[in-house]
Amino acid sequence: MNVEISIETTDSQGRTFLTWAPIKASARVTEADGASGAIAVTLANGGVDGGGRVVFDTVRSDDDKPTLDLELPANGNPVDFWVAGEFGHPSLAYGDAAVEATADGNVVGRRELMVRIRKNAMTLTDAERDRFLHAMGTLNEAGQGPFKSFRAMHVDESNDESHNFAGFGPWHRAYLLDLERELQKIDAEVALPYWRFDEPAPSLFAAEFLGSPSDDSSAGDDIDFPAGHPLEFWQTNEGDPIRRRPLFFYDINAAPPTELDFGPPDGIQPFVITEADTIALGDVFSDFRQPMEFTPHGAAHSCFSGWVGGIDTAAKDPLFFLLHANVDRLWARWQWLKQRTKPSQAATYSIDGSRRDPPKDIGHKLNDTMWPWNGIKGNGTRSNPRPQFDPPRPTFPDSPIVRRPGSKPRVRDMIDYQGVHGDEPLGFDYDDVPFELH
Amino acid sequence: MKAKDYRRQVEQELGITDATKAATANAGEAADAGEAAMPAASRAEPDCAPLVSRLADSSVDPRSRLMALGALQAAAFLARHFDVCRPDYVAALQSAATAEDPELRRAALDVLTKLKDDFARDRLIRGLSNADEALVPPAVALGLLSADDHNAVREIARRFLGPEFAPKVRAQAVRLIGRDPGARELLTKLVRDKDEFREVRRAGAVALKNLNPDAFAAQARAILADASDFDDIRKTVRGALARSGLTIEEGPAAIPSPVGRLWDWLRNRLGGRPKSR
Repeated sequence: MNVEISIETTDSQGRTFLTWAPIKASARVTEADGASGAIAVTLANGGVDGGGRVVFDTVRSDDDKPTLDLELPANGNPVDFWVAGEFGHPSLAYGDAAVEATADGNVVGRRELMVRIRKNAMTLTDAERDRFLHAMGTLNEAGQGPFKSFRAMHVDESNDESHNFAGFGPWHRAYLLDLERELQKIDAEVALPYWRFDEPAPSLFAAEFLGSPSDDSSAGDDIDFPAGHPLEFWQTNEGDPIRRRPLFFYDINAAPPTELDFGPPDGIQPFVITEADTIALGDVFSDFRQPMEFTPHGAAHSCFSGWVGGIDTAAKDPLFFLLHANVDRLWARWQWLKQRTKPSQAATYSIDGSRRDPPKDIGHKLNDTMWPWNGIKGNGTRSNPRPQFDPPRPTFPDSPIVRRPGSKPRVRDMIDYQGVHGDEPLGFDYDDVPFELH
Repeated sequence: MKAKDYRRQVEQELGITDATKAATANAGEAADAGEAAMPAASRAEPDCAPLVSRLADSSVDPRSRLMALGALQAAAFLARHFDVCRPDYVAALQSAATAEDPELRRAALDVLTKLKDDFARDRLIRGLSNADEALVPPAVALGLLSADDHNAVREIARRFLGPEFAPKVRAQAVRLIGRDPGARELLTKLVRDKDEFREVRRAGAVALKNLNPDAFAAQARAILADASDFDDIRKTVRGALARSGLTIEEGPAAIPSPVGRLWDWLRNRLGGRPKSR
């Protein structure tokens, strides 16, 4: 007997990727061995110990059943079910997770897959770290590769698309997803890690990961990678290597300061506030977004001199993308905890900066398309205040496993990224933000 | 773990109570009903004026001035809101750039050069021309000037290529000069010179790959075919070729002689001194 398992998030090479969000799947008998009627089959996790795990249900739910009993017609008609990665059990590599079908105690079907999840950079295995770095180095290709378009879209001239207004979160979420999809074209097993900047992350700044400058400060602030490191040839479109040095108040063996104490009369200023304090910034989007854009976001950038410390240069440093993955994770965690995932609800998203400068709202309203993926070049008028240079990226890249967000994503497309309200998920998840219906 | 179990765990960790959850729900309903207040702008935006004053004030402890710089940089990420204090901020940075404290000077110059500030560029170039006027060490100055594509920067970098300068300084100069399309010959020479310091060779290799990938590939293959070249530079160019998807034909690995092993050990101990010196 043989049972074929099909999962919608399978690419053209037959590789299947899951996140925490349930995905439609089906099972069907392909060799009945003379059986007729219905055949009882049990689906279960079939991955290796310590690898990714999967859960099931007959309907789209967050009930996370470890096994699922199905009655499969012997005539080969498929039976639908839903499958997701089991929260807390992401994969380490492709094929360490699997859906396994058994009948009468015998394995009759199996589909290997990967529960591909964005993880805390501090928890990556050496192999996961090296795959990510290799993909980044390849995307950069000594300043000649596609990375230059990512660097070119996060500059002062595009600031009003990406900062200052409500679209800060959605725009950067799209930016990260665009980059991640490019990395996955190089290596499909890569997921963008995040720098949890309210915790110590010494290994992130070790020579074998994102590196640090020479201890001899007179030598300059360029990151000195060991020979053969995937980022050794990292260059941005100005031909610059990575330049970064922590300021005196940030010891990379500890977490950045949560506050800066100036003493009287200026007192204490919040700096890289903790995750708990970030979540507590506000119960609705309009109270949450702007404070979080200042701190922890701006403060995390400002722990360093070098490229990452300024808007116009930050994207020249790969650390930028791990920093922003954490900013996005914090928003995602806020969304989950506060149940703010329905785009049309003002508590979830609102154009909170609109009263300041209405023309600049373009690109931030729920149904606006986002630059540069919409291909619009601005002309300096109130009706078209988009950046006045050729959009450096083409339309949003297709994914081999999901259809969303489409070639010209709107702000609203980035909000319910897990598809809590029934849309298709965008194809990424964070290791500590589960899928939960509400 | 099921999401609802995890939620209970996180809510406990964050001290979220039933009363907190009720307040969150009420705030959501109010927002959805259009009753939300305007964002608390005063809470969101730091008051920059005192911080700018602190940064500019030479009588203030330099550590406190550096903290003010960090806080102001964080505020600068809310760029449109920060615009009102930007002119004063730049003036304060220029003041800090000539402070007695070297770390404060350096941090201020870092921000200013990213803004392509004329004052910072001129002071850095003056310092490279006359050591008595230097605000930062030469390698730092060249690195900071790399944010600036002004022709004068490239010209002055050429003066720091000579053997009298430390390898770190020369490597920075190579990076700046490497943007010049006419630098191919110089970069090729540096990459192939086994007597050159390794950081200078590596800077030359990186610049050449950026400037002319084909020329780099040719030199990289020649290095890999030469089993007598150093392992670190071979590793460097091998990795670059592999990431470009180019084929690698390597010569037979050298069998290290006792003298060679001793030399490698010495070379590593001495921080990359070349064979011939």
